[in-house]
Amino acid sequence: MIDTIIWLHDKGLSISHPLFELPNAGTPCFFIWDDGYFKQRAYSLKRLVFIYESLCEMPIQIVQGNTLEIFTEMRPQKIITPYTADTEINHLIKQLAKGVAVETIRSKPFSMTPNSDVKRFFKYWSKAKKTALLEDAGKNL
Amino acid sequence: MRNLQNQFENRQALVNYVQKLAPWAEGDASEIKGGLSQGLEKLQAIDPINYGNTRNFSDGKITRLSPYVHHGIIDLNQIRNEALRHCSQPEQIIKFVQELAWRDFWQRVAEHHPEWVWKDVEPYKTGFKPQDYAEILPDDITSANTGIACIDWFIEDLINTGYLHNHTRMYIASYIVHFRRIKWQAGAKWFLSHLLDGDEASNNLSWQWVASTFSNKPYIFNLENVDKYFGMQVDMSSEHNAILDASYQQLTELLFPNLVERDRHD
Ligand SMILES: Cc1cc2nc3c(=O)[nH]c(=O)nc-3n(C[C@H](O)[C@H](O)[C@H](O)COP(=O)(O)OP(=O)(O)OC[C@H]3O[C@@H](n4cnc5c(N)ncnc54)[C@H](O)[C@@H]3O)c2cc1C
Repeated sequence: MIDTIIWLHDKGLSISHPLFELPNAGTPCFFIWDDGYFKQRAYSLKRLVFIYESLCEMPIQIVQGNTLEIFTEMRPQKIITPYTADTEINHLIKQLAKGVAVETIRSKPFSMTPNSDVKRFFKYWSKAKKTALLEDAGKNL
Repeated sequence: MRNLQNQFENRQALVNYVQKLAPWAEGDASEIKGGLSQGLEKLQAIDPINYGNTRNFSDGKITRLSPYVHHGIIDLNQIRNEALRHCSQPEQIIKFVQELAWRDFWQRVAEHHPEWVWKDVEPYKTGFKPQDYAEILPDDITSANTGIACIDWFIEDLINTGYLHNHTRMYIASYIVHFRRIKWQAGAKWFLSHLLDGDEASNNLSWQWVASTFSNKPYIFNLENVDKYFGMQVDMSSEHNAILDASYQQLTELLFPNLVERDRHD
């Protein structure tokens, strides 16, 4: 049984993502080429080629299969994966979380605006601009 | 579970391989290539100062970074940091950073209200009810045969490259929802299958913005507007774009007769 694994989905194709920082450095990482998932989303060949080309530039394993089945077979203790607002990926994550601990990690913030409910852009922007115009969103202020 | 190949002799070999993995997938590969190296090349070429005054034009200083951003290859923090290196005062790049912020905003909206990604956030402000809009996208649209020269040209671009300028996304969405009275969801779904940056939050909420189910009024455009921003590239003759060759007042009367009727009674 594997301890912890990093699962990169198609909305998080980067090995500079904060999830690779300690304590996860060196954790096995892979991408699952899940035909059913792509087919359900009706991705055109253009989209699939773009994803595959991006994967080929990354030092990670690409495995083919059904995401839920692969994780059931592997039985890791924990899955770490990039955060996304994408509803399909979040649906998959919810299903995975029934059998294993799943931790989602966010990319570096664009602004330090509290993650509160927003509806109109300019209301959000009036707060966001205070840090959005600073390097690393003013993290070191 | 099978390990897949990650090295190829050339791009065509990779495309053939992906085609075999997904024989059901439609179309051909785009000329736009994936990968961090391509994304970084585009990042190094940004012109965030001149972006502000030119972004609405076909040849404006837009970045074409969206496919890399959508796939998490390059993040907004990296782009903003790079943009800051191009200016002496942050005010010089405010428009650029504000556009990056639109992505951050849409992601936040989708995080808090995942149901809004596919459901109308508010009623249409067009004088029509949701049931007045067709569910399905007709073939003449998906095959770029609408008979409106500029719209067909933009659709072909979408199908061939998987990338569209923001303005042409707005034109196509407005044409589908308001000129053809089709539900925004049908158009949004079709965009998601083609756009390399196809992103549920940015795409669907922008479609709702055009449709008026997530804004105060419907977005419409006319031939004069397309001519101003895209005239050099596209067949702009009145003959081949007849329905668009009208004033905003005329188009409002044509497209939203119930609104005009209501205004008369107010
Ligand atoms: C109907 C419609 C559908 C859209 N669908 C998508 C989509 O599926 N995916 C997507 O990423 N964007 C979408 N957009 C937003 C916008 O059109 C694209 O982000 C932009 O055109 C991408 O090109 P660029 O990278 O050259 O942008 P640039 O103008 O160079 O902007 C830089 C980056 O800022 C962000 N950005 C800029 N403008 C917007 C905007 N209005 N909304 C959200 N983010 C923005 C993008 O990440 C973009 O890569 C849509 C807009 C409309 C009107």
